[in-house]
Amino acid sequence: MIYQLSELQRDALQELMNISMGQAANSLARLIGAKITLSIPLISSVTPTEFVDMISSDVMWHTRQSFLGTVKGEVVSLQSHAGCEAIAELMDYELPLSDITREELLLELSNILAGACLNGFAEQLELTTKLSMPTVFEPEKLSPEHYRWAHTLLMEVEFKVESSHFDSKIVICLEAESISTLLSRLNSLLE
Amino acid sequence: MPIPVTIADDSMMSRKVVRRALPADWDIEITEVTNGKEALEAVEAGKADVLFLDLTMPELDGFGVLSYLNERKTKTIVIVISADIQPEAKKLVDKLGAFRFLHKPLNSEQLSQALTDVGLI
Amino acid sequence: MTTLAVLENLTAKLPLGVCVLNEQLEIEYWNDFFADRLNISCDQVKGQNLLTLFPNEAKYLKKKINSVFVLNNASFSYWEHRPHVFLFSSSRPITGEETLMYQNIEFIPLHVSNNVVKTVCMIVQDVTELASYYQGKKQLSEELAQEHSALLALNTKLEAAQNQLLQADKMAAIGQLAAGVAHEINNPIGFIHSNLQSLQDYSTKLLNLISFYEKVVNKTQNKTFMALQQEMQDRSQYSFLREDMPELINESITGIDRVTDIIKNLKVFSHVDSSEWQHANIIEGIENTLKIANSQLKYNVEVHREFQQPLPALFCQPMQLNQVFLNLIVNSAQAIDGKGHIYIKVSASSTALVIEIKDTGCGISESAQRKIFEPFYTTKPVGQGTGLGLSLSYSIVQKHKGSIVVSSELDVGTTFIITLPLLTPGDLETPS
Repeated sequence: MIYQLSELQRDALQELMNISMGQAANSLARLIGAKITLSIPLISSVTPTEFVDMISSDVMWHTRQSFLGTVKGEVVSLQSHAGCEAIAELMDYELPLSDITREELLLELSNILAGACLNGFAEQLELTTKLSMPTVFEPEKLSPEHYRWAHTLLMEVEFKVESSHFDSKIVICLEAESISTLLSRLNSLLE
Repeated sequence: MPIPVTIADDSMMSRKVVRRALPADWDIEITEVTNGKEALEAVEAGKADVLFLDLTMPELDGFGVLSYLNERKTKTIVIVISADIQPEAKKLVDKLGAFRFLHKPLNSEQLSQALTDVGLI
Repeated sequence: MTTLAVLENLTAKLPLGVCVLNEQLEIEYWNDFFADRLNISCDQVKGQNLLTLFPNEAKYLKKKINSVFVLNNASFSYWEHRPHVFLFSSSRPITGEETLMYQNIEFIPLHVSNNVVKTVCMIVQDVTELASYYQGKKQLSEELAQEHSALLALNTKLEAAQNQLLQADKMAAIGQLAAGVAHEINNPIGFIHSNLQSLQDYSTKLLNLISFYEKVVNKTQNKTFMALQQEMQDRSQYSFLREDMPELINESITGIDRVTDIIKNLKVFSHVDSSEWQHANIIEGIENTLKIANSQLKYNVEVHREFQQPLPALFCQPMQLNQVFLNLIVNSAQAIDGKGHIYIKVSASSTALVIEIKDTGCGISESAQRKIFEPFYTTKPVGQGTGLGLSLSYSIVQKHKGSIVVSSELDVGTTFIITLPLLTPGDLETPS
């Protein structure tokens, strides 16, 4: 089923993500003491092929984290290869990064960003969500045929730490049935 | 005489939220604008004794509006309502002469408190 | 039992470590998982600081737990990164190879009021089984990958060896053919040569006889006979004949001499037993090779020689080296479009001979230079050449423990430099 968002709904979701992002950026900023630049959130409905295109990148690391609750889905995070060491230093990791400590760093970062984003989002819509632990993910290993769904709703935001040349994207993906739950909550908020 | 008030935010939902949070008995005339340029036009046109200002907007963002107003030393009272709650943002907003910085999601009690503190209600 | 009692019992006995901490990281509760392993009951541990109890990972624990207090967000610790945060012994002390427990830990905000986290709960999971299984699999696949690349390398070596054998086979066959042909035509050519010599002798004698008769007739001063003589000579085109006949015979002899030479070179070059190591004169080999290649060179290529004399003899396989020289000279000739030059320079140091073959041909591009010694690499059109010549030359030079390098500039020319160390028979025993 293709979910056609009305202008109003899209606008509302964008604003909700905007607020969640602000909280996430604030969390990260408190931890690393650097200024974070946020992009305008992007809301889209995508097919598996479009999804693969969106998240594929050979200059970024990927992690994924499932969430359960009133709405279910996964949060995929992309973190740039560049700037990793700079962020690691800000977060008090020992340099130089080994493969293991780099993975630790990515998982910690994506956990913090995803957690803040999702929690902020859920709070405003009075949804409960619980994030499970993030794991490293290699989307190149999966082709679009691997995915069992036809369309999914994505909410995407980008964080940049300019001083460290670090770039990060958080993509919240909702499971098919949860989309209608989301939309009905959204509608009640808009009345 | 109704007080001219402008709400500047590119999100329709956000403007609605502010509207709903304003004290019901406050005698005002509301103008809604979607970007910084329009916000300044509203100020020039005398429609903004009070300006509720978002920071992230197209054309001209909140910081741009604030610095313009700060230079001109207009009498518009600016209350910033933004999702960008990083300490850096607050510092800059204060420096540019905003009266208060409120976080999103907007808390109507905090808004009323701000209006009381500035003497509008 | 009351619900509270049930829950207390349950929490105490869970197969997970449960530990509740306050903002000062003091322990407010821990269950049997911890109590049993450290022999400190929950009541005894209350109020003690987690970091003093577990000093070895204090920094890590502090960071993880604090982030939960600050951000109101769960944080995680993975066995792959920190396998043994708490030094508890393995749950498989008898049959397992590990001595310590592998752990996954989740730190969750437990009591939150007014968006401020008051207590954090640490949940420790024993994942030793999982870790051990995973590590076993990982090792297996690493071993598999290694074997695989070893096999690939072996494959490549075998292919190369096979190609060389094929080429050597071909060369041997051609050699045999050439030797056979040379042998066959040797005899008839021999006849022709000696017949021509005789013919030359007879023709000289006959011409002298006619000159003698001429003189006699002229001496008689008999007008009739002299006129007859003149007429006969004219009709037979005698003056022309007298000039041309010796020339014809001389040229024929020269031609036959050349053929004899070619046959001799061919026989020398295609000597089938080519694997004998011996002391040889390299310059002789090069000159020999130039004769063989003459047909490719004579019309448009000028050969320049710079041979250092005297040259020490080289312990080598002369026939094989001749193949290398032939390969390079023919390649050079083919690279030259129109008129060009080939410069052959041979010099010696106290340890090696250096042979330089330079041409003014079309040159080889940088990317091709890297590939020319590979078997099957060729720039000739399909059907011409085999692309094996240079790779074979390379391996022949290697067998002589030498080196062959190329330098080239497009549209300027190419230079091959072969360095052959002065070996002694004893050097061959060591593998190359």
